[in-house]
Amino acid sequence: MQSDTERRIALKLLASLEKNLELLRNAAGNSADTVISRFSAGGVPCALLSCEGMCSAGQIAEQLGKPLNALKARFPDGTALMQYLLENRLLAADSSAESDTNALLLRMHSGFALLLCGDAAEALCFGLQGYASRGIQEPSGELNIYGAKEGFTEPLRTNMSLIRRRLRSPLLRFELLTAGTVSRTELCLCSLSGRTPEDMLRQIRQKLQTLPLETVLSSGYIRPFLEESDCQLVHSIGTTERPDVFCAKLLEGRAGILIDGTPFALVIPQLFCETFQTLDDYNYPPAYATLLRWLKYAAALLALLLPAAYLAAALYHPEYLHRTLLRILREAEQNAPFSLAAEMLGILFMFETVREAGLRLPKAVGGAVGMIGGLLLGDAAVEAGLISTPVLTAAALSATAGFVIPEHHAALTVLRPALILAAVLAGIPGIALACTVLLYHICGLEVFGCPVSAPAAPLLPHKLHDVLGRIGFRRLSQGNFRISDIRQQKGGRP
Amino acid sequence: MTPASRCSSRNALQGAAVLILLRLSTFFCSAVPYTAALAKGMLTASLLQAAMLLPLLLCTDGHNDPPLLQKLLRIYAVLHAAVLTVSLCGLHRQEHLPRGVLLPLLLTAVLLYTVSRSDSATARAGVLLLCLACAGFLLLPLRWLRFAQPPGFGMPGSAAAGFLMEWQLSGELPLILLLRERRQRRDTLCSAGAWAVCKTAVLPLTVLFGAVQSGEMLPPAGSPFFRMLSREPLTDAVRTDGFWLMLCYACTALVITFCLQSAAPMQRGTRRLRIILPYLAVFALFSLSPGFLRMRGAAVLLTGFLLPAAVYLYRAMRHKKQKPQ
Repeated sequence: MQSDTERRIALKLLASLEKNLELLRNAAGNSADTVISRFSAGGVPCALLSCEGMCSAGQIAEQLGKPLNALKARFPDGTALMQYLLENRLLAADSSAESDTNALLLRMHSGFALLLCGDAAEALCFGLQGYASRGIQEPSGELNIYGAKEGFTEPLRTNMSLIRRRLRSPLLRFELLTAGTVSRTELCLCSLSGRTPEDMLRQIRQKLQTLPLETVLSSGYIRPFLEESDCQLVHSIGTTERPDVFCAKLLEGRAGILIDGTPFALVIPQLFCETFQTLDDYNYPPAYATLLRWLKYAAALLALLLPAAYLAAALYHPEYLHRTLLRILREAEQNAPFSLAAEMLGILFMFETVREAGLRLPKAVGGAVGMIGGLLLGDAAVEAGLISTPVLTAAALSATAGFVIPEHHAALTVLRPALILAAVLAGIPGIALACTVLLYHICGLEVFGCPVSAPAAPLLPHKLHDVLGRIGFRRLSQGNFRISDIRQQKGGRP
Repeated sequence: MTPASRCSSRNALQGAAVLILLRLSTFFCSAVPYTAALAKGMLTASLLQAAMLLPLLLCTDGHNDPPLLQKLLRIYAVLHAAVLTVSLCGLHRQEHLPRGVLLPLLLTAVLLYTVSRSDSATARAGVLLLCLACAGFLLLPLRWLRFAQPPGFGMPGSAAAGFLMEWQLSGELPLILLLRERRQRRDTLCSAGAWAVCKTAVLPLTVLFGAVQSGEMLPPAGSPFFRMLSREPLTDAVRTDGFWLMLCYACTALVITFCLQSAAPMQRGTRRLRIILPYLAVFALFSLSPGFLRMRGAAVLLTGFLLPAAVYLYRAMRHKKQKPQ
C-alpha cells in the first residue's frame, strides 16, 4: 500500500550526476538531514549521499574516503569506476548497486551511504550505519536471578545478533519485512527451520505484509492484527525483552518477530499457562520451582477472586465465614459510611490511580508517590473511618497477589470490578457465572490453530509435566515440547 | 502415539467431559434425599442404560440418521436446556441463595456470550470443569471418613424411586446420539464408556456415602448433595460448599450452552439462531413453569427412553438389511 508521495518518487536514476542528485534531493523533499559530499575519484566526479546521524562519519572516512582518495587508476566514465569498485574493492560488508530512487532513499534513511559516480545510472549503497542507540542492558520488566543480564535493545540488527549468538545453528532463519506505509519499519520474522510450522509462518508473513498501518512504533501496534480479536483479555501472542527466553520459544517451534526501534519482541503463539513460567523456574531445583508455580496459580486466583468473594460472603453468605471472623467484620463495617461494594471499588480505583501516577513519573519520584499514596491514603482513610480495615486488607492482598503475574495486570484490572459487580448482584452464583464467561473466553481463544488454553484444555496429559510442576531436566529433555503437538489438526475438531 | 490417535483421544475426552457434566448438573440439582436404596436403584438403572447404549453405539453408524430424527434430537436438546434452567433456578430457591429473580437474567447474559463462542470452547471448558470435579470427588472420601455415621444406612427409601429418578434425570441419553453425529465411533464409545463409569460407580457411591455420613440428620428440603457438604464444625462455619456451588453453576451453564449449541450447529446463518435460542429456552419455558414442572418428568422419560429405543431399532434394522450385501 503506497502513498501518493511514495508513488511519485519511484523513479530510476539517469546517466547524469547532476540530474541524479537533483532527483534524489527532490525525492527526499530537500530534507535538511540529507548530506551531499562531492569529490573526484579515478578522474570521475562523484557524490556521496548520507543521512545525517544515521551513518558513522568515522566509518565513511575510514572505509570509503581513504580507499577512494588512494585510487591511482584513471577510469573513462562512472560506470567503469562503479564496476571496478564492486568487483575489486571490499569497501563495506553490506554493499550493492541500486537504480530505483525509492529503494535508494529507503537505504539512505536506514543508514546506508550512497555513492553516485559520474554518468552511471546506478548508485552504490554501503552499509555504514552508525546511529546512536541505547546499549545492551538488563531488561527492565523481566528480571531474573540466575539468567543472562542481556536484554533486547532498539536496533533490529543488534537484537538479531543477540539471538544468533545463542542459536548458532543454520536452522535459525531471519526474514526481513517492512511494515508501515510511512515509517517503513523493518521487522524480522524469526523461526527455526523444521520446527516452526510452515503454514503458520505463511499466515504470519501474509498478515505482516498486509498491515494497514502508517507506522509501527512498538510491538503493541502489530499484536492486535495477529490475534483473533481486539477484545482479548488474555493475549495469545506474548512479548519478551529477553533473548534467552526468545530463543527457548523458537526452539519449541514458535515464530518470533523483532521490530526495529523496540526492545519488545513478539512470540507466536503464547499459551495461557506460560504466563506463569519464568526463566528462573528452570534454574531452581524442581521441587522449589513447582512450589513457586503453584504459588503463582494461587496468587492469580487470589488476585482475581478475593475482592468478589469477600463481598459475596459479607453481603449474602455470612454462613461461609468463621464465627470470630464474622464478628470482626461486623464490628469493622458497623461504622463505615459507604456500602461494601462502594468501599471495595473505591479502594481498587485509588490503588490503580496511585499505581498509574507512580508509573509515569520519573523513577526517583515514582516510588515515593506509590509509597505515600499507598500508606498515607490507606491509613488516613481507615483512621477517618471512611473505609474499613478488612476491605482494605482484601483489596491490598488482591493487588499484591496480582503483581506476582505482571503479564495479567491489565486483565485483572478489568476483571476485578466485573466480578465484584457479579458478586453484588448474585453472590457466589454470580461469581460462578462470571467465571464461566471467563473460562469460555480463555478456552475459545486460538491463534494460528493453536488453542491458548492447551495443554490443559484440550487436555494433553503428556504435555502437562511443565504446567502442573517443573520436572527435572533429564525428563524434560526426553519429551521436548513442540508447538506443533498442540496445534489443531484439520478435521479433528474437539 | 500418532497424531491421528492423539486427536482421537482428545475428542473422546472432551465428549466424555460434556456427558459427565450433563449428568453431574442434574445430580447436583436433584432434591431427592440420599438413602442406600436410592443408590441401589440408581446403580441398577445406570447399568441398564449402559447395557442398552453399548450395542446402539457399536452396531450402528450415526452419520446417516434421517432428517426427522435429527430435528427431534435438536428439539430435545432445547427442551433439556430448559429443564436444566428450571432445575438450576429450583436449586437457587432451595438453597436460599440471593436474588433468585436476577438469576435467569444473569444466566441469559452468560448464555448469550457462551453460545456465540465456538463448540470447541465448550468442549475445552468442559474438560477443565471435569478436572475440577474429579479433584473434588477425590477429596470427598476424606470428609466422609471423618463424618461417617453408620446408622445412616437404615434410612427408609425406595430402590424403585432411585431407578425412576435415574431415568428421569438421564437427559444425556439422546444427547449421546447427537454427539455421535459429530464424532468417530471410537471416540463416542470412549466418551460413553467414561460416562457409564461415572454413572455406575461415582454417583451411586456418592449417594451411598451421603446417606452414611448424614443419615437421619439430613433435613428433608433442599439438595442433599449440598446439605451433605454443609456442616463443618472444625471451621465453625455453617456451610462450606462454596467450591461445589460454583462448580454446579458453572457446569449447568456449560451444559445448557452445549445443548443450545447442539440444537443449532455453527453453520452459516445459524449465529442469529444461536443467540435467540437462550431467550427461547429460558423465557418461553419459564412462562410454562407450573404446568411444565408437572409434564417435565413424563416428557423427559419418554424422550429419554423411547427416542433412543426407536433409534436403536431403526439403525439395527438398517444394519441387518445392509449386511447381506
